Amino acid sequence: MNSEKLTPSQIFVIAVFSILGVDILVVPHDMVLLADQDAWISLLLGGVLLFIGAIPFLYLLNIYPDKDLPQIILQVAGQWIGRMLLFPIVFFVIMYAAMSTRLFAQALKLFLVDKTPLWILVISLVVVAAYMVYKDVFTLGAVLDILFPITIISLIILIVLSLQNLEPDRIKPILFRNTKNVIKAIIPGFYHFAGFGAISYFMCYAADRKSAYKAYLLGIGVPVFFYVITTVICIMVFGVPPLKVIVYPTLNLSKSIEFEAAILDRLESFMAVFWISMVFSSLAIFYYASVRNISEFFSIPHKYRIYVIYAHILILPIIALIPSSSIDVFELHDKVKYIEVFIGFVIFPIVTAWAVIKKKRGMQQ
Amino acid sequence: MLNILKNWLAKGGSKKKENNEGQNNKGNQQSQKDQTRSSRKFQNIKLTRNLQDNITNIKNAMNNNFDIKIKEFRLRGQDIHAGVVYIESLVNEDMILQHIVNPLMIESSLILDRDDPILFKTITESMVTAEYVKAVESLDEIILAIMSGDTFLCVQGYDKGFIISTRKYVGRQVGEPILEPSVQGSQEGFVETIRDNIGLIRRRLRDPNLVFNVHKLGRRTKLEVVVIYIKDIADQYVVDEVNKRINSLDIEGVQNAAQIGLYITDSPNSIFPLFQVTERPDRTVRGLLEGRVAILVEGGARALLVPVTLPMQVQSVDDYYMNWIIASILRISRYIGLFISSFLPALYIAVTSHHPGMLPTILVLTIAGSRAGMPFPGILEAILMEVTIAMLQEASVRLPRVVGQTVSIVGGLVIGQAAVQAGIVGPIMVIITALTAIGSFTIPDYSLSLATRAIRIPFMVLAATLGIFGISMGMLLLLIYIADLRSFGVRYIRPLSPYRSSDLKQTLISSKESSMVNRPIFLNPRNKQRQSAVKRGDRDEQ
Repeated sequence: MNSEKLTPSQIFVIAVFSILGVDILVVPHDMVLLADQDAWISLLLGGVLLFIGAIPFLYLLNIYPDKDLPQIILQVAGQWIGRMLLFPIVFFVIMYAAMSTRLFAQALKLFLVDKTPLWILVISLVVVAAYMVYKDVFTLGAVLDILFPITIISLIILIVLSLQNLEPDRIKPILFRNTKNVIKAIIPGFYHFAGFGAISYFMCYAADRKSAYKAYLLGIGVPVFFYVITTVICIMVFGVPPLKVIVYPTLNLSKSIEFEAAILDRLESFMAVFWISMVFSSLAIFYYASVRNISEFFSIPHKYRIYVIYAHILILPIIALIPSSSIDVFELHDKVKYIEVFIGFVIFPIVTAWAVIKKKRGMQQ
Repeated sequence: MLNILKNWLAKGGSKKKENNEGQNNKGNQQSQKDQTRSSRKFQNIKLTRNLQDNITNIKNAMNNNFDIKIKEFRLRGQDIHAGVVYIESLVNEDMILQHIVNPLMIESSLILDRDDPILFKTITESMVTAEYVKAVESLDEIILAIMSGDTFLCVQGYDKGFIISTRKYVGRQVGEPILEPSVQGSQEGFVETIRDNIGLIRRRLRDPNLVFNVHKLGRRTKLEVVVIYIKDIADQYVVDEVNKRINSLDIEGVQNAAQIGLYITDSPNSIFPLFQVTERPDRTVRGLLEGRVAILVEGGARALLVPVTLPMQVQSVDDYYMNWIIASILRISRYIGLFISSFLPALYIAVTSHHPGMLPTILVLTIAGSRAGMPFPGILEAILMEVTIAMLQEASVRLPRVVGQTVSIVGGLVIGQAAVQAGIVGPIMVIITALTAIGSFTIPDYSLSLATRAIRIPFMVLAATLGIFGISMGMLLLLIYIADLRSFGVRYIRPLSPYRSSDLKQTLISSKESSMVNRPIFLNPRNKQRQSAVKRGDRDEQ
């Protein structure tokens, strides 16, 4: 039926997965490097910043309810300036998708399939995501809807099980001679919520706008919650100095858990398996966003959309496999996130302001 | 050189042959078209006033077959000739004699005076006492009626005739459902006659809004296909779509409801059944009450229910006859069965060959110990067992029941004991295969359990090559594939997504029958409320 729409629950899930992705594996490490034991405070403040950024963004989406982000930008800023504004977004989305695939493939290689070559992991993830994008948005919503509980339950299990190793003293002292670092780390904390804009590619299919906005704001709260909790727990379990050298603390966290009953050894492998669905979901969202971006950027008509999808199967693994070492990957991953800050604090405000002015003029006339 | 020449000649010859065949094909197509025309060619032939001509026309049209019976007689003892035409094996001959021939031949003389002209109306209204009489003119309508078991009555001097219903239904008694047995449900199953089947439904659903749309399907078989729905519940879109798809069929004929399902399904290549085939009237009624559409075919002892979704196929009728907690446990065990039947061998292969570290050390040692000295790798072992089980299942379906026991004995011995002792497969592999088979037996829908069989081997291959990662990728692909399937506009995956707690409690887990106030919303029923909530407090006071 053509009247199919995304329900609020699906908008919620898309909002969750547009932020909750491979970053959960590295968040505690990254943040502790910057703000020591108070990393979680910076992250929390970064989350507040996320909400501050998200509300004007929703306002922009509300002005053009039946268009997605690239269409809005081209409509507001015209063909040429619009493309200039759109370009960083095109670049960011494709880089973000490629880098998170690479990061996760690396983690998988480390914790699950040590003999399989990296490129096979990357290409398999990309091909499955391509198949997902080849189907329509509503199928994407349905699939993510089903993957959501799997991801959340696995995260909750991890949190609950790691409670036994907790040493609360490790988080102290709170904010002691560290306030400067905490404030400095807010912006990097905000990076980890990169991708909150991905909802703009889906909002135009929402069934009920008002409840969709609520679902979205609720949805972006979920990753903030899990990132902060994971960071707190990692600090409490490992302590700050070891955390500075553990690259994938969240997976190591599951490694540190020991079952009394010994039903399953190596919980981290299971976690890695469950998180395949999580990373896949965020990859699918960004894959879709990138396909939309490029279609609009080069004005490719809808019937040739399939070729844009094919092109991504080629481009994404190439970008993902360019960095030769894992250190390069982390550096590139960080650089990509600077673009996100630029997009979030420069491009979105410009477009929103422009749209508001345009709307007012239109009303005056 | 000679050889080359010969070859060349041969090629030329074969080309010529091909050409000939091509022409033959064209000829065949031509003749097929002619035949479809021929079935309609009687359309323009009308009855004449001459009785003998009419009878000869009908006989010729039906190729003068031996079982076409013609009985000629005189009306009212006068010189007015009349005749009945019918096919002996399809009609109730007693009824023809009692209700058609007797009144016209004998009793008519009591009613009518000798000189009265026999009016056409009189025959239908006050002479023939059969249940259904209809005046007809065109030959093709008459022939179809005779073929369906009706009797044609023709009177000298009139260019109209009558079709009188005299059908005799020879068929099985209503018996137990064989493929869908139920512990507490009714023990009646559909039979091959559509009239009895409609009766089975009507008897359980005394609703005047129960609507039957009758289609005649098949160029040659011309069987009745009945689309059944409850007018004020079923989604009009689904009803229209079903009728439209059946109407648009131009096929030779069908013998079973499932066949129609394959013709009108949304995606013919889907290995998952996008329609539900059932032999239980109570399940059909339940489906109708949920707002679904049932399709019955003359001669097929199954009903087709559309739209269908995956969770519906994991439901059994017994779920509704039990306490909701127990029913939920049973249903969850069926979901586990579905999962095991699809993925267990693949998981075993992946864990043993790629990630032995995931299992506890002692278990790994046991498995390794049992696999020591095995000639084949895990995947080959698994495929070997899988093929054997598939053959056994197929054999036990094909064999007559008397011999069936031999199969199970031989199968059990060969697969279980001997194969392990001979060192061809490991004992744990036997356990895995047996569990897989049992898992597939828990699925109430036979087509769905066949679908799990189809995905099992691809998953084993993925597991052997990429380990758990391969299985995850496969599951994601499968999930995307399933989520995209639709059954008459309803997603096959509903109500697992989008979440709606009220729908979920009726399909994923079972819930208190008394608390199910509304119908499943994803079926888009016109009338959402099912019943009013039972108030316990009031009952106690009474």
